[in-house]
Amino acid sequence: MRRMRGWAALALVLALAPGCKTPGSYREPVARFQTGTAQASLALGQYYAGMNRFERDMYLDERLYDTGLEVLATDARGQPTPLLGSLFSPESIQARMDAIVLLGLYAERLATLAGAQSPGKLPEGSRVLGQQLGALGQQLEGLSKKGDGSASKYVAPVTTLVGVLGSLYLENKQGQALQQGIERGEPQVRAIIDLLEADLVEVLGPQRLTGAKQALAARVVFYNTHKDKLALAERRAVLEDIRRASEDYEALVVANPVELARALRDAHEELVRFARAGRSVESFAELSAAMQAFQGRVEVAASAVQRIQQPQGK
Amino acid sequence: MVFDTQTLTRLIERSLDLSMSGALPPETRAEYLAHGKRLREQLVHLLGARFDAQSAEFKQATDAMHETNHALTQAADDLEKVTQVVGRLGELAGFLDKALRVAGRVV
Repeated sequence: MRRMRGWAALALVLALAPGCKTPGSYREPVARFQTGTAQASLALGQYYAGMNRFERDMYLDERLYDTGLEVLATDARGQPTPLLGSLFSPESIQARMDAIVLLGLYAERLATLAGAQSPGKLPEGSRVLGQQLGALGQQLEGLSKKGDGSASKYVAPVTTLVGVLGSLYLENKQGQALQQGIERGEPQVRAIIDLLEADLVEVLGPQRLTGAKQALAARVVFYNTHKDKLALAERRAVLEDIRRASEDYEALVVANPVELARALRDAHEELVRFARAGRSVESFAELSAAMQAFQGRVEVAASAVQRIQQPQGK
Repeated sequence: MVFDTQTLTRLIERSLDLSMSGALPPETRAEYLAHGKRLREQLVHLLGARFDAQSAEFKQATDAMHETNHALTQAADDLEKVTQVVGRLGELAGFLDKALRVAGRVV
């Protein structure tokens, strides 16, 4: 095993020796970082976007097994029900989704710097998107003033990271830009990931877990209460529905979307460590392995999140 | 100040588990389901709520939740106690309603 590691290290030395101080050293692991970040961002964004839809599904699902409940747009107190109302502010959800997009743009820019011949040239779409995100800090500040307390925590890291991103577009010295981008973006990226993780643990997790458990319990109680009155085919249908609800709950427990945020943070920390270690061969090997592991974690977690994004019982 | 939604989440999950427990009579199971659903509805609002830490409603709801959670944990497998605790969930829902009336919206 040790001998094999020695050969691997030698192979890396041969492969990297001429270019280990160039941005090319970063190319493969940074490309993996970018791919993994894009995949994680997409899955997290979809998870956030589904917050209000999940409550609407829950509202209707509750009525499927409780004939005593009506479907209404407003309740007895005149408050909007989840049928048409939004329990979670769409603006707050959008601001968080934009922060996730910003992380993806940051990773994309690093990847471009690591691999492009002309780092100053970015795809026009990315540049325009970057400019649009320039207003994100102000938008978050506005939400904070409206009472979204957690939005205020996003303001500083998002605003600074937008600034870092802007300077990276202008930077012409590839290696230096990459190093600086990682260094300067580090505290902001970490802060944004920490905030996303807190949202996932404190808001989205409880919402989904209790929702999936309720969907299961409602079906079980319905079956136990009505089983004597149901025909064989009806019992089969309800039992099948219970099985699906049980699998949905199990998938949610296993998927744990917070794993996406944690994988992102670990990968980012490895990238920073590599940059600070002077891009040595040893640290490159560690970074390369870490980025492969990152991609694997994201693929597993993202497909699990996709699974729980399906409408209940489908 | 935000409400301790982590504890409330555990309490709701425990209530819903009890609604599916063969150790309890059907009526008690149905009660646990009804309370679990009511508490979940409140949880979803509490996830986006902010409170003045000095608010009496906030303190009352927090205390009631911790006491109920403690009672349910203590009851463990003692069916008689589990059956008694179900009534406290209704009281807790009342305190949470009062707290939500004075809350500000966050998310």
